Amino acid sequence: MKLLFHVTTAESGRLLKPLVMAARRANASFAAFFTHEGVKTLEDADLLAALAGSRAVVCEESWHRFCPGRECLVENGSQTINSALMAEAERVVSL
Amino acid sequence: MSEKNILVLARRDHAEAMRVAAGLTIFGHHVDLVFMDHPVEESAENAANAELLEMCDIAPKTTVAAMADDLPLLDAAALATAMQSADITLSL
Repeated sequence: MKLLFHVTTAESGRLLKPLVMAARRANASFAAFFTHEGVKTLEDADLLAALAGSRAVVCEESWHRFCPGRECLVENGSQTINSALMAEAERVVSL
Repeated sequence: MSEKNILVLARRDHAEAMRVAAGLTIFGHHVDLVFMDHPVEESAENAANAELLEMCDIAPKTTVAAMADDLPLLDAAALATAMQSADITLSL
């Protein structure tokens, strides 16, 4: 995997979306991990559409904390998966 | 898959940064943690997280002068060196 986007704030979505589109244009493989308030960015349908077909993982603990009762539309994960993704990624973009 | 040197900058939420830093050690990465912006709040959650860091062999540093009695204090040059030495820098 070329790129890992590490998303931690609710405002990161406006940066993540164009970066995801740029990665697609460049044919760069990528994944995204959402933790803490970064999980709130997944309320944006356009961002979800941009992530379609790529691996997007949410920290389940953060999801329950910041989006209680809502259905999570991406892969549920943990900080264990975050650690594994860091190992796989050639580059990490911290947002 | 490869083990990496990861630097976690704890800025907005120190408790979350401690949780993420500890979790990152699971796959064998070497993790450094720097508390920034403001002193770490004294709370039961942070006390538990501090124990977690110790279990994970993470020895935090700080750029907050008010914490210098408890942790190694990094100046701007030392922080820049730490960032240059890391494979990955995360800002939380």
